[in-house]
Amino acid sequence: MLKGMDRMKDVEALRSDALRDIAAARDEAALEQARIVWLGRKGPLVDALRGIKDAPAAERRDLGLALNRLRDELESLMTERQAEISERALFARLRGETFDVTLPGRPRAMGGPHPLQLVEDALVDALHALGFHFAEGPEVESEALNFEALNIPADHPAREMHDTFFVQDQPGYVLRTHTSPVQIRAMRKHAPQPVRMITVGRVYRRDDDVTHSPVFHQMEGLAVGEGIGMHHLKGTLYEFCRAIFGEDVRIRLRPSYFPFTEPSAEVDIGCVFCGGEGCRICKGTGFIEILGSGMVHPHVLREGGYDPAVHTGFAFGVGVERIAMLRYGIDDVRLLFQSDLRLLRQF
Amino acid sequence: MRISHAWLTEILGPLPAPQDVARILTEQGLEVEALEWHGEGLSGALVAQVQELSPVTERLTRVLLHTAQADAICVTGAPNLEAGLKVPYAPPGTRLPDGRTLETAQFHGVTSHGMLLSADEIGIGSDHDGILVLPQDAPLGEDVSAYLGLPEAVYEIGLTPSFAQHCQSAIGVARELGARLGRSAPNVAAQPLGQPPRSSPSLQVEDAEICPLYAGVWMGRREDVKTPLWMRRRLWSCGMRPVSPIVDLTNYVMLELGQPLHPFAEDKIQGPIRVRSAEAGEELETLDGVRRVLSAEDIVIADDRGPVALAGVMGSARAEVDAATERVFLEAALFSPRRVSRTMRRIGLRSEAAQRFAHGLAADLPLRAIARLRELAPAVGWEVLPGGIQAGEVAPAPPPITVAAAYVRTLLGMPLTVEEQASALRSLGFAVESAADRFAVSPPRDRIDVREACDVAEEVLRGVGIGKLDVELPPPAPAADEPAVYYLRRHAMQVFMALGYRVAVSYSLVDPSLLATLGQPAEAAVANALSVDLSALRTTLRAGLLQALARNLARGVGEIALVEAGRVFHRSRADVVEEENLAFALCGPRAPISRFGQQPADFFDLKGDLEAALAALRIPDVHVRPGSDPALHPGRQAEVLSGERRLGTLGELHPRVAQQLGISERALVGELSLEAMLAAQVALVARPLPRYPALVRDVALVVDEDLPYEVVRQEVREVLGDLLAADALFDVFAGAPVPSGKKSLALRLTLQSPERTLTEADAEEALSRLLQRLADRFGARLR
Ligand SMILES: [Zn+2]
Repeated sequence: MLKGMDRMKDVEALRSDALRDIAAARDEAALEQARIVWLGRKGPLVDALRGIKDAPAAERRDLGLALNRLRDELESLMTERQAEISERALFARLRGETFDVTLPGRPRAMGGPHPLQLVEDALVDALHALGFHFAEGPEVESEALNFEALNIPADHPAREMHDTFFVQDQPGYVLRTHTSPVQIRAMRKHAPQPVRMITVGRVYRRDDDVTHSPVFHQMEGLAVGEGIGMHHLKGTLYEFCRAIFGEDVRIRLRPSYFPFTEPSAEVDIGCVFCGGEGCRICKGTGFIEILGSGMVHPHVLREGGYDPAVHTGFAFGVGVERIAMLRYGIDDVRLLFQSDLRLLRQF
Repeated sequence: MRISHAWLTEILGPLPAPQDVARILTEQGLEVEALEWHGEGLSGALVAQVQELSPVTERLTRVLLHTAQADAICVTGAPNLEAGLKVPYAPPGTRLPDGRTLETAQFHGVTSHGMLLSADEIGIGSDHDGILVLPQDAPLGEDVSAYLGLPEAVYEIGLTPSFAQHCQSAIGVARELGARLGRSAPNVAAQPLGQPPRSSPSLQVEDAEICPLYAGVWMGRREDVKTPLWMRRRLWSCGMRPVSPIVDLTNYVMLELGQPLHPFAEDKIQGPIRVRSAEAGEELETLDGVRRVLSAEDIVIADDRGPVALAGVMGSARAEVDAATERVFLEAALFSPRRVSRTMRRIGLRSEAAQRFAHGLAADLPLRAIARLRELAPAVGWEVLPGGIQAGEVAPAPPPITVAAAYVRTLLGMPLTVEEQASALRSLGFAVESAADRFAVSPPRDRIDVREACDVAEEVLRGVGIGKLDVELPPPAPAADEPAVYYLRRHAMQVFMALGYRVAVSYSLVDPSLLATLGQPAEAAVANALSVDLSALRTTLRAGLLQALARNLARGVGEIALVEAGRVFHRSRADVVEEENLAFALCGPRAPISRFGQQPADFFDLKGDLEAALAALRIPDVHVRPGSDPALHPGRQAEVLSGERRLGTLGELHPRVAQQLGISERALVGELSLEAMLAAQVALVARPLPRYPALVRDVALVVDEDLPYEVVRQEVREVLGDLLAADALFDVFAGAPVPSGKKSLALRLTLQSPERTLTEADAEEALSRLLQRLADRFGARLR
């Protein structure tokens, strides 16, 4: 039977032995062993707790308190130790799983757009945002719509600028030389209601060199209604150029000539390469020609079913290749029709 | 056309700097495409006088020169020197426009201190065979650049067809520039010719349509002088070459006023002068020495012996003015722009004259030009003799154009008063009578391009300056239908890009033999193709796509995945019908080589992409059946359908076709009709998520080896109906232990009911129903 002081000393001894054992446990098995030894049914702590009843009544309370505190302490130390051991094991495992993160990833082939498609979509979206609706027309077009309805009669000098492909076995039909016939189609569909139309598509000219391709793309816009003026054209072009070339774009209109518009204007933007200082691309002028435009000619309005005394309108057309070449610094138009993946993979 | 700053200055008075003039002209619609500086870079050359000439060899001459300071010796090969002439002398150290710096040089033992300069070396002209002879009053010792006013600014102007009607002349350009500077360009007034001289030949114009006005005068040579330097310099600056005094004079008047003139050597023509249509097959040797066979479209000037000029285009060698010519018959006429333009295009001869006639000339211009010729002739030693012959009268000016000021205001969106509009027009030389809110406009006679109110509005705009336009957005208009196929195409391209495809763009004109190789012969072709390889309209997008594929392979580019959308052209009876297609192709591995290995794409890569794309595009009930496209591998191709609707085809390229196209690797290609896809597409409506759990069952079926999977699949779908939430084939196996002639198909079937939780018993019942049917139909049994 233990004496009071001795009993408390024994608790101390028990504690220090148990602590040493727990600290010495290196893995889960050793720790479990220690748990059985010290906290198990047959362990010294349980033994001592059972022995409280044999202690003098005056000591019982303190002894019970000390033993219970010790049990709590051992349990919490074991939990801590448990965490330490599993942390160390995980760390060791992860270190074994280390690999060379500088090795390249599993390659994925990305798809991507064509520069012409990028420009086309941007042009259409910019005009859509201004309330223009999309329309289309055939590439094999009648001479009447491609020329006569657009105020380009046979022998008109402007026909010289349209080196035309004729369609075999189909007299009176050509590969359209511009997207402007879609104007007539749209007007005839909507007259006398107002029209806001855009179209984009392929056009054809008998031309083949660094800056001319026999097949190329145009985008065309048209607005007809009562009270449409040239200031509306300028406003539309300004918004349109901002959408394509950025917020800070400057535009300049120059008088020009197109058979289907009067007055006509060529539209320049401030050179995007030199900021207007003058460079090789703008030939020192600080401006780059972007598109042709004007007020729809009365003859064309009549062809479209409108009364020029009541209705006015504006139209403009853009070469998609030209914009793509300017925007992406491509200097040979033929590159745009080669589908060379070395170019396409840059987009 | 070209015009020098100096010429414009002479007409209008002192001008702003050339860069500013170029900007003003451009903003006025006369686009200055280039500002050239002739004679730029010449420094150190002096005016010198030839003192003495002595031969060095047969071709070289030693020249003793006098400058203001000292004498110098030069050796030259030029034939046109004589003592007393003033010449440009470049002493050693002189820099020439071409960048050379002169030094002393030895010729056959004679030291040449620098050289004498030709117009070409100075950079102002094209004459290289002689030394430029300066006027006698050129001050000795003066710097040549200063004396000649170098460098000389020359504007190269790109003319639109309407400006070509009134600005192919110094006066025309000056009128436009003057409008912006508040100056006016004086014009020469037309004068009647007077009576025909005695014994003049008769003049017959066959048809006023082809030649509304023909005027002729006679000119005589009075002195044998050279064309003065100032006139030659104008010709040079405009890009023309001086020829002889009389030719130079007519060219000069053309450049100044825009009226082409033609001199005939009088002694080389005889009998009445006729203006008529050419007879088809008639021949004429033009001044450039080319024998030309004429067409009935051409207009000729003829005498007793036949044509002496191709009217409006070029004269003939037979009536050419030469050094011995003492008298000329000079023509100033108007010819049908349409006819001249046709002749010019037909024979490809864009002479200065033809380019002016082709755009049309003012009705009174021939008589103005003759009046000007009369003034200038003495400068070149010639004289215009009194009287002349004329056919046709100068057409009266067209009646004034009446314009409502409100129309101009609406069209331009500018709140301009009648008076503001009138003064804008007057600055361009228009006569305007205004009253209340409308006005009557008479354009200058040269402005044949101004005919109706909208033309006048453009002139108002140019008169006030196009830079004054306001900026406003148009009012909205009602919405309109848009072609759905356009949006499907954009969506489809996005889907294929997401699947790793790059977008291709090919010519829609192709070689017909390429289409034949692909088994889809051309149905429409171009009548006037540039070349065979751009002569047929494509019937399939695969033509361009496979060419692009071959081109990439030839350039060593691999891992090819391309998609293209566009139109193909077929014929339906007489009409060409356009259809929107989409084609896609794979060749080689999907990704670059890496340590993860690489597999060249095969049929099932392409088909997987197709299935994914069609699902993303909401094309329902997609399935395939074996196809018979001659360009594809007979055993590795399929037709694609949505329900009963045929969408297109896909497969492995036939090895023989591949070889013909220069494609050395296995290529896979598919083509779909966007219109068919559009018709098949279903609306996007979200289905409710399943509320009850699914049961998953794997079954391995043994069937005949040649039974297509699609047939089994259709049966599975039919038997299980709504119960089948998903099905997948996860293994195909033939060989032991599967009996020969058989294969095993491993299917994972996901069963689910929208109404209740399925029980094991439900699944058992459904599967046994399925197996029974498959056994009955195909003799299938469980493995
Ligand atoms: Zn620039």
